[in-house]
Parts: sequence; C-alpha cells; structure tokens
Amino acid sequence: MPTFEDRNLDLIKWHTQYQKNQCEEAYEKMVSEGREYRAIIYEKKGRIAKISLNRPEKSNALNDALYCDLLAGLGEAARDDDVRVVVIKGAGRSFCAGHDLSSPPGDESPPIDPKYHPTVRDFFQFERRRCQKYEDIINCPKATIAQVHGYCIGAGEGIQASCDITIAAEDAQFGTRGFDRLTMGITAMGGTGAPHVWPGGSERYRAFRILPEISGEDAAELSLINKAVPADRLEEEVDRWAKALSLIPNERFAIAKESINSTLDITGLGNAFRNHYNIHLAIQFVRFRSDETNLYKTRRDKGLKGFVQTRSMHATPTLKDDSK
Amino acid sequence: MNYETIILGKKEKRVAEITLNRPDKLNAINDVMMKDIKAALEEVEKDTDIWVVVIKGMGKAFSVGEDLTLKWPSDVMTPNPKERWYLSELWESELRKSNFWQYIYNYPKFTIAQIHGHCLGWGCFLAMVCRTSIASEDALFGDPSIRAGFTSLNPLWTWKIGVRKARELLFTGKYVNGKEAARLGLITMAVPENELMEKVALAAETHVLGTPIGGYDSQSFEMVFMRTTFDIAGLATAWGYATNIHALSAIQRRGFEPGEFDFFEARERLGLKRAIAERDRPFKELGF
Repeated sequence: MPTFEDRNLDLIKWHTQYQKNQCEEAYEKMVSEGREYRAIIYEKKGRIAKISLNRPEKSNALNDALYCDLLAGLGEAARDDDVRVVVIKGAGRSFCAGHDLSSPPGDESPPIDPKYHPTVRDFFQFERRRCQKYEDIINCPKATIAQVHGYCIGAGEGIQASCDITIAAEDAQFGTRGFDRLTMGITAMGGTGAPHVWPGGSERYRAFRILPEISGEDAAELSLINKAVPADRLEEEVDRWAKALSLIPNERFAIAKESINSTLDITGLGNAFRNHYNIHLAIQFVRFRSDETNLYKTRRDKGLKGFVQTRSMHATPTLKDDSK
Repeated sequence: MNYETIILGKKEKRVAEITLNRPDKLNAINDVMMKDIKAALEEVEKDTDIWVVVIKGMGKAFSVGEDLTLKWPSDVMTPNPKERWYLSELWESELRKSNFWQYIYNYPKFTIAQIHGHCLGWGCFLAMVCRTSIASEDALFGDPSIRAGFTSLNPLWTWKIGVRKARELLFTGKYVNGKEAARLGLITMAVPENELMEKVALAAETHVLGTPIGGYDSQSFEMVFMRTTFDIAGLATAWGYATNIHALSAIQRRGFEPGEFDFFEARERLGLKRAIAERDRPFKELGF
C-alpha cells in the first residue's frame, strides 16, 4: 500500500514531466524543419504529400510521439507551396487503433490515470491541447484526405473526421470501443455525430449512434465518410480524389475551406470542443459499479490485453448474423 | 406586371407559378432575372389569395445557374480579380445577393421548386431556398464554382447535407443526380420525370387543403417560428459569414498562379462554351 508521501511523490513526478512536456518541449516537438520523423513516413510526390502513421506493431495507436510527428508533417505540408493535398493513411494492417493505452503516464494522448489526481486547471489545459490537435487538422489550409483501411477506432475516427475527405476500404471497421460516441466528445463533434455531419436529429445520425461498430460500406451509406471501395482499389481511388483536389490552387482552396469551417464554428464546433473538456473531466470522477470495466484497475490487475478482453465482453454486444 | 425573363402565372386554387423563361440560355440567371424573380415574389406576397408559389424552368432545364457571359458591374457574375473596383461596390453587390437569397428563404408563403434537367450553381441555390423541392430523378445538382476559384455564397449546403457531403460537392464541383440529392437531403424528393408535374401539383394542393385548418395566418406564423429557430442555431450568422468569404474569394488580389485555370482569361480567349469545357476537362478526366 503506497503511503501518502509516495503518492504525492508520484504526483510531483508526473506534474514535472507534464509541465516539461507542455511548456518547454511542446513547440519544439511539432517543429518540422529538419525533423527526422520517427512515427510517421512523410512522402511528397508533385502536389500530393502522403503521411503514413507508422507504428504498425501497435496498429498505429496514437501516443504523443505519433501525434507530434503527424502535426509536424501537416505543418510541413501546409508551409510547402508545392503541396496542395495531404493524404493521411496507416502503415500495416490498420489505419489507427485509437489512443495507445499502454503509453507511459507522462503521455497526454491516452486518458490520464486518475490516481495522479490532476487538478481541474491541469485537466482543462491538457484537454485544450488535445482538442487543439484535432483543430489543427481541421484548420490545415491544404486539402486533407484520410485513406482508411482495417481498424479506425476511437481517436482514429477523430483524425479521419477532421480530414476534409475520407475514403475507406469497404471492410474497414469504424468504431469506438466501450465508449458511447457522445461522451467521446471529439468523435461526437468531429465527424461522426452531431449536426456537423448530419442535419440534427436525422435518422441517420440516430442510426449511427446506436451502432457500436460499422463497416466502411455502412459508413459511406450514412455519409459518415465520402466513399467506400474494395480494399484492393483503395489506393487508386484515393489517388483519383487527391488528383482532383490538387487541381484547385492553394489560395482558392484555403478560402473555400474556411467558408465551410466557419459554418461549423457557427453551428457550435468550438462549443462542442469545450463541452468535450467538461465531459472528459467528468469521466475522471466516475465511480465504477462492481460489474463494470474500470480501465485503470483492470489494466493494473490483468495487463492491457486483459483489459481489452474484459472490455470486449462487456461493451460489444453479440450480434446475430442471420445471413449465415 | 410584365416580366422580361420570367412568366408569372396565377392559377386557380391559390397557387401561383413563376417560370424562369430564358430557355435558349437554359434559364441562366442574369441581373434582370434576379430582379424579376424578386419583383414577382413581392407582387405575390401582397396577394392573400395566393398561398403557394411554384418555381420552375421553361425548356430543357430548371436553371444552369448564374449567366457566365456577364461582366462587371453585375451582381450575378463574380468580378475578375484583376479588375479594380471599389470595396463599397463589391460589398454592396454581395449584400444584394445575400439579401436576395435570404428573401426567398424567408418568404412568407409556401414555395415549391419543380426541378428537371440541370440545376447548378445559382439554380441549385434557388432550389435550396425553396421550402420544398421536388425533382426528376435524372436532374443534375451541384455547384462547380470552385473550379473557377470561387466559394459558394450559400451556407445552406452544410445545413442541408452535412459537412462531409458539402465538402465533397463544393471542393470537387461534382454533380449528383436527383435520386442521390434526395438521399442526401439536398432536395425533398425525387420522382420519375413523367410524374414530376403531377407530384408538384399534389404537393401544392395538399398544402392548400391543409392550410385552412389553421387559416391562412398560420402559414406566416409557422414561417416566422421556423426562421427564428434556425437563426438561434446560427443560420443568420452563417449567411453573413458566407457573404464575407464569398467577397474575399472574389477580391483576393494574388491573382492566378502559373498554370492555374483563369476563367476570365479563358472566356476571353475561347468563348464561354469552350471555357467551361476547359474548366471541367481535368475533373471529368478523373471521373468527377
């Protein structure tokens, strides 16, 4: 049993790391000039830049390093006058499996372990930075296309939702595991819910809210994404869209994009982000019932894999497939 | 009153009909037509015997949108960025346009757009600002402004079809047919071409028959109520933003990058028809 002092020491350590990450390194972390990317691959071909999320062994789960590399890559593309379109895709079997829940405690990307007792001030700052990352993608002045295959879960959905266009493989899997889409503020805000994607209260919006996981094909049908194609034609289809968008000069595109994004703001995008801070903070204070899955406790007792197993038993309903 | 570019017909049963009447130009909207539409609607507005207004196009199409042969000064055609005009001229023109669309959107009588053939750019706006829009399944909807470098003046795209599809349509300038437009929520419904007139007449009649329940006055009440709700949700601000950004897209003086398609230059060099073909060619080659 850790003493109060031990816990306090942990907190101080975490706090120091946290301040250091954010205040001293944050800017440096996203600087793209002369940067050696570790977690992404940045390729440029004519007017099209491609950013591959490159942690295939973790299904491209997002940790701080990957986020920073991704934003630095976007920054590089944004500043490069030759580039008109940025394609974001995943190396390996999947697009992105969401937050890397095995990240060390100092990382901001996954939910922070409540045992560190971050203050409300810390928390809001941290949430603001996290949401800022999505807003940076939304406000990238170049056209952004997400090329989705395999899993696109949780924060991965947030990334694709922040892109202008999403093309997915028909068998790609979109979903949030064990979270309601509404409480996942970013997903609710960005692309996968709310009036920003569908006119408010539409049946399509409702339909999506109650489906735990949907295929690329269904997502296209629901207008959650723009198009779904067979997996082997994905690359080709994305190239077609990228070429079309690359016909529009940078200056013109930036204004057109601003026009749509301003409508998003008016309909409450900024407020949705703020709402997200609160909801996420509230989640930290949740008291779990005995039959519910507690990430931190289960991870401590059974390890991350154990947690994922337990969660899937609780969170994923068994769907009967009548077609078989 | 007689109109130059439209026909205002009043029918029995409380329905008026505005027919865009430039069939040789596929009902392209010019400044005169803009004024005519507004004047006709104002005329009908005062007539308490009319409860429903149907807007439709003469000839092969509903409307192909703004008349691209026009030159500044014109409210319809966005000016060439290389021309030098005063800011006040630009803003006044932008406000006139924005107020024109908002006037129809907020029109106190029930409006129905009856769409066949092409329904592009401003033609599509006209369909979008009507309260109900019924189209034939093979009608074509879209706004190719971006291909000539302009943004859309109309914030309703995002409101009607959601951000994903709004981006897709406005960033690539692609067209969708009536069936897909109905699925996306851009229009109310799509029907086979031969049933179009019948369905519109039915919708008008249904409204006329339904209205007496609350009386003619209930119509305007409903309108004001609906408008207020949308304005609270931010639509009024969105109109303002869209107007400002549209002005910006016309005014930005950086000019054209090398190799960039310059619509005004192409129109001068090739004539309108070939300039439009030139504008669409690279997109068509990619299947958009």
